Amino acid sequence: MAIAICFKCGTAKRGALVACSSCLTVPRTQNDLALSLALSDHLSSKEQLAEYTQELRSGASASVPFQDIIQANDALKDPQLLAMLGAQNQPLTPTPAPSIPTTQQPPPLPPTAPHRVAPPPLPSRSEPRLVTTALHQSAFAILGVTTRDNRKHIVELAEEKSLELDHDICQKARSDLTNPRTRLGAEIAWLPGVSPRKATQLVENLLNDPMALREESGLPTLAHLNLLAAAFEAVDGNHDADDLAGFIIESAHLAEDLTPEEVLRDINEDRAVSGFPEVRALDQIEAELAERKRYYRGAIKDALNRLPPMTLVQVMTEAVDGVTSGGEDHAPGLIDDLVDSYEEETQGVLQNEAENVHKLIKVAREHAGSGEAAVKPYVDKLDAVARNWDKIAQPIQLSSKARGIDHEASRDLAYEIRSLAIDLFNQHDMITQSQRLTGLIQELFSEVPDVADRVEEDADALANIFQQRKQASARRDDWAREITYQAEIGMVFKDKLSISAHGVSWKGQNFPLDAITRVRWGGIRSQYGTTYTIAFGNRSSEAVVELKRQDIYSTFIDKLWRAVCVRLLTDMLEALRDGRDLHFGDALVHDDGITLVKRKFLGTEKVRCLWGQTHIWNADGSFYIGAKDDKKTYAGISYIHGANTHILEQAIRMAFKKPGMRRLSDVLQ
Amino acid sequence: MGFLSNLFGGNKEDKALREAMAHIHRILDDEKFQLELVHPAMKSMLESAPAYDKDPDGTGPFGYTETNPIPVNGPIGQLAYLSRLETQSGQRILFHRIGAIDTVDVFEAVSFNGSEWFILFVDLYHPRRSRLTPDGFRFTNEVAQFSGFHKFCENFPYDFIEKKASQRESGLSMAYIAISKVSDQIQNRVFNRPLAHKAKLELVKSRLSSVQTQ
Repeated sequence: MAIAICFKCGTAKRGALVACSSCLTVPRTQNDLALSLALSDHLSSKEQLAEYTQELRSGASASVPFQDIIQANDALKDPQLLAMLGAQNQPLTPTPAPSIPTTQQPPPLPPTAPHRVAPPPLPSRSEPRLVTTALHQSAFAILGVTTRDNRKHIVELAEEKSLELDHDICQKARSDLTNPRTRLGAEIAWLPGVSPRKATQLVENLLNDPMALREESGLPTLAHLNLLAAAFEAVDGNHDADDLAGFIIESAHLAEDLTPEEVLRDINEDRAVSGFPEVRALDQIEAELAERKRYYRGAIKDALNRLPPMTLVQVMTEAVDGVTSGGEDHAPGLIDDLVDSYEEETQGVLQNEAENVHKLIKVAREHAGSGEAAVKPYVDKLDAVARNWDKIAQPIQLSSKARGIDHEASRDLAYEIRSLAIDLFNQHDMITQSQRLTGLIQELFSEVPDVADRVEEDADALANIFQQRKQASARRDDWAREITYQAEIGMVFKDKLSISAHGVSWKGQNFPLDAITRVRWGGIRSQYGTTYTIAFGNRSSEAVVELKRQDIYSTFIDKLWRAVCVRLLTDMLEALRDGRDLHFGDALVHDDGITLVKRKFLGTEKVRCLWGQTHIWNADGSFYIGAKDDKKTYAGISYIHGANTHILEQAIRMAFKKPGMRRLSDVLQ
Repeated sequence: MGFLSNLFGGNKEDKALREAMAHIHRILDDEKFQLELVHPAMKSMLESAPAYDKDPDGTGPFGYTETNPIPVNGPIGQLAYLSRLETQSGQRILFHRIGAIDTVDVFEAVSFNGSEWFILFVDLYHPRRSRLTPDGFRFTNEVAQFSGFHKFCENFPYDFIEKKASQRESGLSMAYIAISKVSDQIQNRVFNRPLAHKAKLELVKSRLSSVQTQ
C-alpha cells in the first residue's frame, strides 16, 4: 500500500485515496483527489511528504508542484478508477459506469460520473472570507500599534499584549518595530502613508470582504499593494477565472506605479511623528521593495496553485493576454516574473507532451507509405496533443512575443510538425493532411512570429496547389465529357463505335487513349455515295471502321482529335525536336525540313529542302508537300491510307503560320 | 525415426510427446477436464451453478467491476480464460490474483509489452467459461498457454519465471507459455505501473474481503 498523507490534516495514512483514520476525511472532489494523489509516495518522495506534513499541520497549504497536480488529474481521467471512487463514496447500488479501463490512453471523462461532486456556484467577489492574512502577522497588527507611535508607546503596548498573546511573539514584534534595522521592513510590509484609523479599518475589511479592497481609491500605492497581496489569500479553487485574471492585471499595473521616492516620503512623514530616525538612503527602500515584489509574486503564485490546473492555465493565459494585448505590448514586471515561474513549473509537463508529439510524428512518418488512411489517426492524435501542449504553453508564448523573443520550445515543436507536413506533401502527396497540419501550426503558434511568417507562406503555397489541382481536376472532367461519344454503325447488324476517357472501342476491341499511336481517316466518293473510313491503333494492331453516315464520321473525328490527335501532334513535334526523323510515305520529315523525291526521266532522286523552300496542298485524297522551285520534287501522302497524315498536315500548317519559322518544333514554344 | 516406426505410428518417444501435447491441450481447452481438476465438492457446486457468458443481472462494464465479473469454470478455468485474452493491439496478458471481494476474484494484469495494465474481476463459480471478452480485449488465435497464476505474486510480473517453475509439482508448468515470450521484457524491466493503476490497486486492496498471500 502507498504511503500518503491526508490533504486536510497532514496525518499519514495507508493509501492516497482512502479515508484518513485521524480526521476521517475522504477526498471526494477532483481537487482533493488530485491533491491526495500528489501527497503520496506515488508522486512525492519521503522528504517531500515530510515537508508537506509540516506545512499542513501549520495551517498552510501543501506546496505541491503544479506538475504533480497535472499528472494526478491525468490519472483521475481513468474511467475504472472513477467508477471505483464512486463505489467507495456511495453504497454499492448498481450504477452505470464507463467502459475501457486501459490505463495507457484513457478516454475523456464521462459526463455523468456519479461520484463527482458538483462544483459550487461561482463565487461573487464578496464571498471569499479570511480568518487571517500575512498582513495580520505584521508586528503593527500583532501589537495594535500605528506607524506614528513612538518607542515608549510600542514597548508599553508590547507589555500589555504579552498578557494575552504569546510572550515571545510580542517581544519579537516589539523588537522588529524598535530596532532601526528591522523597522523599515515592517513599515514597508504594513500600510505606509495611511492614517492609523484608516489602516485599522482596512485591515478589518480585509477579513470581511477582501475583494472589495480592489475598489479602494486614494490609497498610497505600496499600502494598496500590500492589501491586495493579502486579499489574494482569499482566492480558493472555485474563484472565477476571469475575475482572478483581472485581479492579477490590476495588481501588476499597480506594482509598476510603485516608486521608491513615494515610499520614502510616506515613511519619513510617519517617522517624523513617531520620533524614529528618518531613512536617508533610497537604496534601502529599493532593497526592501525588491523583497516586497518577491512577496507579491509569491502571493499570486500561491493563489494560482490553489486552482484546478486547467483553471490555472486559463487564468495565466487571460492575464498575460490581457496585459500584453495578445503579445503586442510589454508586460509589467510582475507578470513577467509570474510567467518565468510558470514556465519553470510547467517545464516537465511540456517536455512530456513534446515527447508525445515527437513519437506521433515518428509513427506518422513510418506509416506514410501505407497511404492517407493509415496516417490520419496519428494526425488526429497529434492534433489533440499539440492543442493540449499549446494550451499550457500559451501564456509563455504571449509573454515571449511581448518581450520580442520567440518561445524556443514552441518554435522547435512547430518546426517539427511543419517538417512532417512538408514531408507528407513532398514525398507522399498527402495534401489534405499537410494542409491540416499547416493550419494547426498557424492556429496554435500564431504567437511565435518566426513560425507564423514561415507557415503562412506554406499555407499559401499549399492552398495554391490545392486550387490548381481542383481546377485541373475540373478541366479533366470537362475534357472527359467533351470527348465521350458513341454510335451504332450498320444497317442490319449494328456494331458499336465509342470513345471516352477510357479509350476508343470498335466491335468490342478497346484501345486505351494513350495506347493509340496511329490514326487515319478519309472518305471515298463513288456512285453509291461516300464511304468514310476511320482507322486507329498502334504498331501491333489496328481497328478500321467503315461507315456511310457523315454526321457520325464528323462527330467522331472531332472527338478523336481532342482525345488522341492533340497528344500525337505534341509527341510528333517533340520527337522532331529531339532529332528524330519521321517517315511519311516517300518523304522523310526532319525538324528543319523534309527530304522529298525528285522525279527524273530515269529514276528518282532524294532532295532535302528546308521548310522555307516548300509549299503544301491537298488533292485527290492526299496531302502534298513540294519544293517551291521544282514541280518535280514533291511527296504525296494519302489521308485514308497513310498513318497520321492529318497530324503532319496540322503540324506543318501551324508552323507555317509562325513568321520566320525554321523548325516544326517551334510550334511547341 | 525409422521407416518401420513411421508405418506403425511412431516410436515410443513420439507417442509420449503426442500424449503430453494432448494432455496440455485438454488442460488449456477442455472445460469438462478443467472441472475434473478441482475438488469434487467444489466441482459439484460449479456444475450446479448457471452457465452463461455474462451475469444477466450484472451492472457496470463487463469484467471491470465486481458487480459484473467474468464467469469461468473454477481456478483452471480462470487461467484458461485470462490466458486467452489479448488486447486490441494483439498483446496477451500476464496476470496474478490479488484477492477477492466476497466471491469475486480480483486479478491484476499487464500486457506482455508492459504498456497496458488492468484490474479484472472474475467469478469462478460456474460450469463453463464466458465466450465474451471485456471491452478492449478479444480472444487470441494463438495456442493459449497459461500466462498467469491464480495466486498472488509478490514481485509481479518480474517473478514469472520462478512462479512458473513452482508449478512443476502440480504438473501445470508444461501448460505455461515459454519464458522466452516475456524474458526480454523482464530483463529490460518494462513493467512499470502507471499512476492511475496504482491508485486503482490501492482502492481495490482496501476493499478485499480476502487477501491472497503466497
